[in-house]
Amino acid sequence: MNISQESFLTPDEILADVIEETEDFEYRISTKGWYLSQMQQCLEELSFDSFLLTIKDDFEFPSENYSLALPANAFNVRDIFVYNGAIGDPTDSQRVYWKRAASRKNTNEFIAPNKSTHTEDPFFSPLSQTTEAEQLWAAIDNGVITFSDQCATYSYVHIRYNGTLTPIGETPFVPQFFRQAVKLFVSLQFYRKMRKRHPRVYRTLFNDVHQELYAPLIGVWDTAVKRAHSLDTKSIDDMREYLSKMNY
Amino acid sequence: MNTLRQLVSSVDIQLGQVPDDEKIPTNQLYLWGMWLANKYMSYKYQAADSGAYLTIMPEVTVVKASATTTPDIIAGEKYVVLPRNVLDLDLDRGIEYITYSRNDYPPNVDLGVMGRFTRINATKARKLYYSKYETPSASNPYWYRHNNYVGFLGIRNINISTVEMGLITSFDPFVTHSIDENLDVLSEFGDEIFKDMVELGRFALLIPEDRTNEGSYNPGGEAPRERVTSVNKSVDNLLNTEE
Repeated sequence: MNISQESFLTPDEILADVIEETEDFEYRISTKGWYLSQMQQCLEELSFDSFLLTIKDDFEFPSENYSLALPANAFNVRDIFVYNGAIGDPTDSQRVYWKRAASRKNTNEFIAPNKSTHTEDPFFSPLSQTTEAEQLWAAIDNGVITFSDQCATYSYVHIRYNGTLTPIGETPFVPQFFRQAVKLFVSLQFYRKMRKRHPRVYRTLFNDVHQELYAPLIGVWDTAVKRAHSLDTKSIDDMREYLSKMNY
Repeated sequence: MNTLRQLVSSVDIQLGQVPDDEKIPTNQLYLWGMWLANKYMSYKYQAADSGAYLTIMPEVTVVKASATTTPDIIAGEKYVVLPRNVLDLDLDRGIEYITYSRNDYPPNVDLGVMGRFTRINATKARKLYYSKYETPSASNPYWYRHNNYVGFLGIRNINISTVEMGLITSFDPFVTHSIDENLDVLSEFGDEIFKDMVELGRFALLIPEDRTNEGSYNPGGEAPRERVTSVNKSVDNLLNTEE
């Protein structure tokens, strides 16, 4: 993420604007915790839409069952490596590839639709050149990463994944370029829940803010997601140069 | 300067002009004055963003009940007794704010810096424990009113002896000197309150002697054969109405 940790906004910065709009200065209609929860949910949604946050994490290889649970705020695995050395300080590393629908509960054996030991499978030819046990692969199933036997020859796992900006329950700090989207999202949720109590007042406000936030292309939400996608100028410019060199 | 004594005096003069010896006691006029002053204060407070009726009580003693007493006192709960009568408004707005006491903060802190308690009601309090963000704690404390008490959530494990309260106090004419204190609401709603008091006086004086309930029942005579008419319509109007 191309943004300094220093330029994240505290929840109070957002609240200062939001409660001015909702006029709930005393948190009498909604508690401060409710507003924080909405902010967290907004950052979740923006994370899902923009894939903004890529987290790199190191783990000890799970030698007891070859299975590793994904961290709490992860929602999309981008890459997996295994390495030896010390944690976070590899002496050698290898990339681990994905194997379709493989799963295992312990170190003994795994199950997968296409497997070299399936000699009686009338449709799939079993893998012949090498066995899966000698390959580095992993599969992801219900939030758990399963590794092959070969991966167990390495001591550590390095995973790159997309995560939500703020895990549930933690203080939501807001990237500067998401400020307007978070403000409107929280206000919208306030109007949304107040619609049934005072429909004449809050339905109109809800509709106005909904339009401002979610209008296709020009809405604040789309703008925020676009910003998140266009931030990494260095990589975009370099990629353009590689491609224009024409000798790839 | 507008005082309740001035108001009651002028209403008394007005009501004293009836041509008989009926008289409304002055104490009763003060009681009506209190009702009406509080009614209009309530209207004014809800319509205007004003601090005119805010009374700050810097140190209200927090009590931890040692034993349960029915009603309202629950052993182990921390609470305060409301130190003054407050206006009973939507969402307990009669209690403007509650914070930790200034004694628990470094000297010269401003009002906004002190930890505020959030208002909740006894039913919604259950919901607070559903979300990690809302769960009561010493850094995120709550208050709820029950009867004349204010209970707290989230401060069970800390020691505090007092809290600061901002109250929208109601007017009480039966407190010493209060009838000679300036009553702000009279400057704006004095005429309305005067009219309402005279109206109440007229109504009170209208009740005739023969309407008193003597406890006897004598239904004698025939049952009425004419149709029953609303007491709000005069007979003259009914007679002139073409059907």
